[in-house]
Amino acid sequence: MRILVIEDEKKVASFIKKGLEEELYGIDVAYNGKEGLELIYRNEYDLIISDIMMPYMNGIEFVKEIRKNGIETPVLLLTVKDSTKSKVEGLDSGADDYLTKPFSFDELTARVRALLRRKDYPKENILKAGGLQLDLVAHKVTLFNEDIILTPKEYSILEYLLRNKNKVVSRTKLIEHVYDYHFDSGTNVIDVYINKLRNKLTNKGGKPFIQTIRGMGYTIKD
Amino acid sequence: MINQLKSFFTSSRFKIALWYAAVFLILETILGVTIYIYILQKSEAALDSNIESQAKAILRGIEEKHFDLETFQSDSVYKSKDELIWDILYEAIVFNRRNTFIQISSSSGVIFKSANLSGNIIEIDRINENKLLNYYNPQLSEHTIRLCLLKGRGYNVIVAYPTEQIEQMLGLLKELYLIIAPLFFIISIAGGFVISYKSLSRIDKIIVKTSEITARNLKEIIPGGNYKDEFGRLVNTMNEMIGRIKKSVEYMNEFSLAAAHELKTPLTILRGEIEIALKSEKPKEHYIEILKSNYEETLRMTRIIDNLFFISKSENSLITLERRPVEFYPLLKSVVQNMRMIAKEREMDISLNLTSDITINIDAGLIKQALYNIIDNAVKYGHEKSTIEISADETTDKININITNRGIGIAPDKVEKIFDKFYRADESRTRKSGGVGLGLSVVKSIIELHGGTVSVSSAHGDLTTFTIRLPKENGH
Repeated sequence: MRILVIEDEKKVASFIKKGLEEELYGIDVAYNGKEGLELIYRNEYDLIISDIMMPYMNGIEFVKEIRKNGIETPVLLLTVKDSTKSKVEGLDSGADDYLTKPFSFDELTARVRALLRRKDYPKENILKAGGLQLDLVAHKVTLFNEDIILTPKEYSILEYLLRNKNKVVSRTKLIEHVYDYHFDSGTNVIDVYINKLRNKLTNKGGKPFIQTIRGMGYTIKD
Repeated sequence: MINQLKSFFTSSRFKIALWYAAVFLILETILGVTIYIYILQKSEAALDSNIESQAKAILRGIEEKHFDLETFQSDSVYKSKDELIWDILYEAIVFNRRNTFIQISSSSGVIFKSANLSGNIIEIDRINENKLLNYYNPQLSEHTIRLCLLKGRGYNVIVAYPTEQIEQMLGLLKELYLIIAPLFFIISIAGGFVISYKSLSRIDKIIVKTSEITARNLKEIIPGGNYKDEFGRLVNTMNEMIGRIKKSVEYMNEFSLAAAHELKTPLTILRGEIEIALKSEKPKEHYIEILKSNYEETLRMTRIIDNLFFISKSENSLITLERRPVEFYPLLKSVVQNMRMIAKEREMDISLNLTSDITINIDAGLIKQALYNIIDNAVKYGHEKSTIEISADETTDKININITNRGIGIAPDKVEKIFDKFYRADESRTRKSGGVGLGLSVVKSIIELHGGTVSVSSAHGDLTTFTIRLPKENGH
């Protein structure tokens, strides 16, 4: 899952990035609303975490701007203002959630999970397909109740495929949602990871969990 | 019940009524005693003049007719001595009252006495002179007798009258008084209560309203300020006091809100970094990095709190300047030298353009603080790799210091407000910088304490110039 963090206080942006990366999300950081807009028009994100008080363009103007341009990505606003009025203003601008500073990082990650569960995503913290289970909180993957040890990148790829179960996911989409924007998308590194994943998830029934749809991408089916 | 009684007896209403009644009682007593004494004296004087004039009339009668009462011989007019005396007394007896005792005596003894004396003789010692005196003889009257003795040539005339009537009258007066006085006293107590109730009911209203006022409803006012009397003045005074309290409560609220607000960013960083550090085990370097960052944040919090205290202290005039003569330009140079290190982090430079030096009488520590704050602000909001220009010149009575940076600028509608206490200009400003809003408020406080001014002009998105004007001479 790829998350855009917009925060002008560099240290806040930095610890959010570090903490969420530990939770195996891909994180991009922008230091103001304008930079945020540039990134959001260039890449596809699953979630945006934005500060409200920033120079050039504040969080609320930012949300209004992207909603006007038809971007439906969930937005979580962060702010030091804890009055009901400013919460209402934030949510009414088109944001999906609101968290006041100082916040508990656990609460932030729980809200991130909750926001990612929305829309067409399953509403549980455990993603399932066949005998395969992925626990979004514990970051644990089991196959017929047997633990499977995955690297962070393998986990991220599997998570994205499971969230889009029964849909075809292109290589580009995978790159966009699993890596931050420093990643060179010209390589065939995705294929390598998919192969490694397939090896670890050898289905006892024979049919591979991750199927290649020629010319289009990959899919996981029930 | 007991408490109610207690509060009743301690109430001003009761005290006023009591005072009122007490004053009334005293006045009533004085009045009673005065009337009593006055009537007594007047009656006695009237009686005295009455018996005296009778005695005089008798004596005159005797002396004018030149009778020798001692050697009386009956003749054609007066058959007996008594007839003669009756004739003499006639005029006097016209005025005689029922009980007037009359006795005429000569050196040989009593010549005449009125019938009401019957067998008694009024005996007076030392009848050498005329006198008015009190005489007591239970056989004549149970009351004191007022007696007038007149000494004529060879005759002594005594006219006496019992004081019974005076005593009776005074007795009646006393009785009447003893009935009326307590009645009036009771009425006065009631009146006292009515008056105190009427005048104090407005105090009660003030008490009720005042007791309702708390920190939350300081906007409300106590009614009754439009009366021009003492109560009206009291209400106005209290309303003014509430106004002052409201102002300082608002200030305190603003202050604590600002304090909380300013401290939230460093707290967010501290909390977030520590939470993530504790989440999973990390290499040693990582912990060192986090501790360094935490240390920076605690310094930032200290700075915020120092600034808040400074503003609060200067607001309450608790700061005394330690002025001494300082060469100003070396001071400015050393500040700029230090700030160049900080500007370097953003690849900015600071240019300094000075004319000749000048010595002024300032608190060097505070002026340095102000310069640091204002240059720090210029560094934070200047574009990277730009140059901050600082120049200083002097007019006849002032030093002007201009600090100009090229950066995001300040919106025209916010220019006037950035020095305001707790004002968060472009809302991101204060937050980021750990209290720039505070920093500029501190600058303003310091410069104004020195009798100077600080102003700013800005083209939004371009050049921003802060100008400090310090007086060369000051009255201190």
